[in-house]
Amino acid sequence: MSHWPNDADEGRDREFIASLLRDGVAEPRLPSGLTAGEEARLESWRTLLRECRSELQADPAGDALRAERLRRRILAASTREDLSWRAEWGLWRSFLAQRLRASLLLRVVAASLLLHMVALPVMAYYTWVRPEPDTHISFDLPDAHQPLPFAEAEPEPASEPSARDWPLLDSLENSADAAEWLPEHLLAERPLEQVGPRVVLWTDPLGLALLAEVLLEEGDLESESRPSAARLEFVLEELHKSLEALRADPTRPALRRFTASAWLRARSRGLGQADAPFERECAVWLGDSQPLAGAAWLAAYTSADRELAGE
Amino acid sequence: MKRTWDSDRDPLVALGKGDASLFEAFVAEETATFLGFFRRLGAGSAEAEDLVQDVFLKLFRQANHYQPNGRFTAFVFRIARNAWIDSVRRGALRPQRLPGSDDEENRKPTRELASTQVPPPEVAQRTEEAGRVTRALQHLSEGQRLVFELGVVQELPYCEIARALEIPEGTVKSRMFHALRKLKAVLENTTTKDQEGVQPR
Repeated sequence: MSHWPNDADEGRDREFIASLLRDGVAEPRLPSGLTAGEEARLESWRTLLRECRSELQADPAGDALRAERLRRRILAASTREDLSWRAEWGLWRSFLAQRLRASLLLRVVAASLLLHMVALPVMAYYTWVRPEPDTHISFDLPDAHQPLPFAEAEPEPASEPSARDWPLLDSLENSADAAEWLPEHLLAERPLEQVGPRVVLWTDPLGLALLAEVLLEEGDLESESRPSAARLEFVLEELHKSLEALRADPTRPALRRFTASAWLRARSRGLGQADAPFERECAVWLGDSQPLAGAAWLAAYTSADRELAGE
Repeated sequence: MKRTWDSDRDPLVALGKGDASLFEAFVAEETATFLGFFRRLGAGSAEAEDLVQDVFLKLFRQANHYQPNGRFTAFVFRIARNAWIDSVRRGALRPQRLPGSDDEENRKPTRELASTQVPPPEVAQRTEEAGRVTRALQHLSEGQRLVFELGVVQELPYCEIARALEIPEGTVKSRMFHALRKLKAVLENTTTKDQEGVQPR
């Protein structure tokens, strides 16, 4: 049974312990003249320290084996670590740097490779996040009770065919310049009984000239009833022959003038037989190289018609 | 430590000069010392091995920047003590404590944060296999145990203990006295109980 020392004893014990630890358990350097009680306490501390050290400083066999295994592990991770890979990596790095410095092509290839490697994950990301096109086909049936967006067209009532149904006349009617060329207009200018025989006789020079004028106008209008090229060509040949005949007939100057105007109009469009001297002669008959138009054409027609009628 | 590693036998000074033989000798001789150090502080076998390896590798990596300041032994034990404190703070370790031990630091938050506990059966088995002193050490606080370990087991002088633990020398002296007095009381109590247990009724 131990007894607890007072403050003085505690101070002495601290000195004893310090001396035993500092100088060794066997020969502590302590002042002489210790009392019997102090000697006993010193001895008890010495015994305690000896017991502690004998137990704690001994190395158990199991700890020795564990320590040996741990020692090898520590040395393998420190002083005996294999560092040869660092040297090999340094060689590879210097070799690559040398080759890159020497070759422009290799630098371009390396830059391209680097660019592709950087772009690859970016493209993969966008490919991943891009929504796929909807390949599912669906049909929506309209509601039978809903009205249709348009009404069914009512059939138009049938009407009697008229001159207005002729596309050429519709086109001429809408053209202010061409209004004067309409046969209706011409018929309005002169009573039908006076002009009728002249109009239907397409074989005389005046009829041929009128037919040529109408056919040329149809060709200019690009209408659906455009005459065939062969038909126009035939009319122009007949017109040319009539003019050849009028060339030697000085009694028909009005008819020659009107017919020459129709011929020059055809030539101005590139049609008819090319005959430069004859065209110059037509221009002389006409008094101008340009074909007649408007009121001048109508006056020329009237004069030619009267000339044919022998007025 | 049975050998001194100071002055001209400083392993880190030699290692800084390119001589690894002294460091290897230090590892070979003192691995068991530090294993026992951490085991007595309360670490398990595997934990103690990890701590010892951590300490030696830290020393190895510090060799190029090492400036000898005082005894190498004190420096090494400061590294070991810091490794121990760090591991306890990280929660990797929970020091073994017996009920009734007067460890004031047991009440600190860092102890409460420790998540890895040594399983009770292993503690009981280890306590049974350990000697009387080892079992009695469980009753000391961590501060007392560190001072006892360095002063009694490693035989460092008070000034070196103070340097290693970064505490005043007077505190070392006081902790040593209280540690030994506690140990003495526990051992005497154990002896009395053993004697009472073998006496015939």
